[in-house]
Amino acid sequence: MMKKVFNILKYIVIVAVAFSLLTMLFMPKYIEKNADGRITPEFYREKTPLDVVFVGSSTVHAGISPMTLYKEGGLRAYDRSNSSQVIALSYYMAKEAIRCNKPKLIVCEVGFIYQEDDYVDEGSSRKSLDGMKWSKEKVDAIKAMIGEEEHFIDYVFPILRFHSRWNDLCAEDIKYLLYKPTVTYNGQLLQFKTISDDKIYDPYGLEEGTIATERSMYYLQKLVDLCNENDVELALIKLPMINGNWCNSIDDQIQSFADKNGVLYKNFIDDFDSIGFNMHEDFTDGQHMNSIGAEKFTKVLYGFLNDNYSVLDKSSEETKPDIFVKKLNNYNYAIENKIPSERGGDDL
Amino acid sequence: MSFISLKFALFVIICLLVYYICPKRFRWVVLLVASYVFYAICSLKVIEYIIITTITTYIASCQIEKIAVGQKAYIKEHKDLSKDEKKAYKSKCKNKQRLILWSVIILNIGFLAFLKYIQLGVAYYNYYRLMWFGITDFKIINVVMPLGVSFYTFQSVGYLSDIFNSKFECEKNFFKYALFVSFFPQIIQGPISRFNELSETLYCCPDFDFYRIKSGFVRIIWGLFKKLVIADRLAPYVRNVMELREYNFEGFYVLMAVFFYSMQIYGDFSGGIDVTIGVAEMFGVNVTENFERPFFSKSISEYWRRWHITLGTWFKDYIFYPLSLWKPFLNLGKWVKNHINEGLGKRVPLYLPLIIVWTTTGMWHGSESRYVVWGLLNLFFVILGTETEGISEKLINKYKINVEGFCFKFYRVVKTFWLMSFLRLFDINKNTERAIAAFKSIFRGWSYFKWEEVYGTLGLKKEDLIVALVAIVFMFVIELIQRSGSIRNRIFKLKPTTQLIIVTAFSFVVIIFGYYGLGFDSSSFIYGEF
Repeated sequence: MMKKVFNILKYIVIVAVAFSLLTMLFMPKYIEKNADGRITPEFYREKTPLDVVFVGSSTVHAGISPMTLYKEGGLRAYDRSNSSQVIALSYYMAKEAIRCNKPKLIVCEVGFIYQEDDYVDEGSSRKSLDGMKWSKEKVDAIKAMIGEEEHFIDYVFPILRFHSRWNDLCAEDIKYLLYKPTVTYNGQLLQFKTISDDKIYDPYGLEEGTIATERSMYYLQKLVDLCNENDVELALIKLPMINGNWCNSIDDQIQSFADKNGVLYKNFIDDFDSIGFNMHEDFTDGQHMNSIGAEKFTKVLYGFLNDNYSVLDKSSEETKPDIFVKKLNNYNYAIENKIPSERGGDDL
Repeated sequence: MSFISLKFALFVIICLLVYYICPKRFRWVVLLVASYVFYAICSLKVIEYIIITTITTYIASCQIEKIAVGQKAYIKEHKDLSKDEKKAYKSKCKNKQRLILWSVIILNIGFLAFLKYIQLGVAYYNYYRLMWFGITDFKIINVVMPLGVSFYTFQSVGYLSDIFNSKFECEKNFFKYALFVSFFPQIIQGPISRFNELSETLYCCPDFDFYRIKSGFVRIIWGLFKKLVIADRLAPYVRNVMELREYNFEGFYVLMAVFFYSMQIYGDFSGGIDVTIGVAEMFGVNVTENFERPFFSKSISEYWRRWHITLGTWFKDYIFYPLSLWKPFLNLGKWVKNHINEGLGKRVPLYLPLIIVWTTTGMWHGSESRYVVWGLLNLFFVILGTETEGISEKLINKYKINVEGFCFKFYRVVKTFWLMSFLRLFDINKNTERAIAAFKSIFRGWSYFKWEEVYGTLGLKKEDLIVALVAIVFMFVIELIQRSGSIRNRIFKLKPTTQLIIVTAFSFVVIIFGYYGLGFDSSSFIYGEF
């Protein structure tokens, strides 16, 4: 009898392992391209307690450099952002970060707050959701983000979604089947593209009168409540851009929301010149900074955080060399040699 | 809840657990509850139709049997009755039974006809009001079709007819009978089971047998392979060609669509039946086979004995045979024989029932006139085959053709396959005119054919085409091997590890190459709509 049970268990394990391998093979690797898909899973490699976690859309992992924050004042930070990441998803990213890493400050970039209530970008959401470890936050995040035609089960068994990649499988899928190198610098994706000289952008591309969606404001309120409950500071920011979806009406709305909830809100768009940006050198497009621009901006951001959040003051702390030193060295090397993240990654 | 959803898989797993945990004598109750839960999930709004059919046919069957038992007892008690008195009494009883039988048949077939034809009727009503009186106040009736109405109605009516003909005793337990009508694996698209066959295993509630579970599982996977890897992959191409035919997608495009539609409908329907049989097998229930490698048929008559077998036998047993022995038809045949032509007279009692059978077969498939045309064309080719048998034989003898040789058999198989495939143009096109136009279009526009259009505009990527063709060849190879015995049995004779590798690998093939999920245009089961 015991032998029979053992045999059945053995077969179950063999099938489960084969199924897992198959799933791993078909899941996009997000290493040599679309590396933003690595931001979420790489977060779990961060074992050091964090000071700050940034949440928001792609402007965050393009424009905020955690390594610069460490270089400037020893802040240990992480970007938990993704392309087209809406506030709802940022809320769950923050919630999970608070549970796992207990940061002192959450900074939410509100650039995507105007998106429609029923906005679903399955491709982008999956980059965040598939990368999350199974937890209550992940289940809730899936439920919040799932589109009408999607099924929860496809997140439980991602092979059901990605099986159609059979004719897209390439060497990358085999190369990174079992081991994936670290490609982000605490969530930041390095990129060095610049805007051509003849490119012209109009500032404030969003129609005046536009306001944040009800769903976004609902999750923003939840984020405020979450931080209050966990005794974590919260800041709302809008990153600088050349041409982007922003307008005064939405800015006023966020400001009044922040005032009402006793939260600091800072719009950096008007600080473009004081930051010292050169649009043709510091941006990859109208909305996203490149890594050179990110360095410039992050120095200003550090000043803002240092001025407003005493919890981040490290002057009394004894500095101990840790993994961040090694990360910083790698980061500096990549910046100096202009090595983008989507090249295959470093082994950190 | 579709057969190809994970919800259905979960439903079956839960039912299996409860089924085998329950004491044996309650297991059929689990199946009944599961069947009604399944029906309620899928078709709660119109659940009353299946309940009415179950109640009416159950009461009628009991009454018919009661009369038969009463008749026997009466005759036994009254041994002194003369032959004529006995005959008169029997006739009286039979009339009573006939009255019950026909009342219930008319009621249930009436429901079916109403559900199938009411919308068509209203459309004609609106059309003629507009044409004759210029009234544009169109009436609209929205009818929700109960799940599997065609299948359970035919199954119940067949049962009642069998009781009337005293083929077996009626089921006394109402709930057991309700299970026979509603058994969930076969409710969506059949097969149309016979009570004496299904009841042998439906109520016997066997012990748990792992062999049956794995055998059922493999059958399900095989069905999903046919449905997801072949049928759903080809469906967009077929649909696109028929919709865009006027835009120079003629000739080889249409010929390819005709071929692919045959593969699609076979993969779809027989795949669904495989799932049905596999699920039933897991519960220890043997469901009748509905296909027997139909594409290897050498004539249309043979094809119809091997395709949708249970529908064919239903029409044969309950419509064709009774009608061919119906006195008015026999009398008409005699009259024609005496007054017009002897040969024609012989054919009347045979062909008149066939016309009715094929017209109703067409009507069963759909309410549009194209289905009737399709049915009658099938009949035409069946009759043509029968009537030209003599000429064929003469030609075969004259040219000394070896009828048992591979070449001749192959010719007949190919001929039958393409004939049936062309007839399906009535199925894929919206009306008879479009079907005929599609057929004609095969003979022109061959020079416009470009593979790029197949891969692009018509929605069948090169890789998908390759997968579909390989899968079709694989399916036929497996079917050829099946002629010499069950492949599953051969697999299960191998070492457990080898069995596991084969089954797991094949399951992975279905998972990977299946045409399903977000962004795929997978279709529901075609026969589920009949």
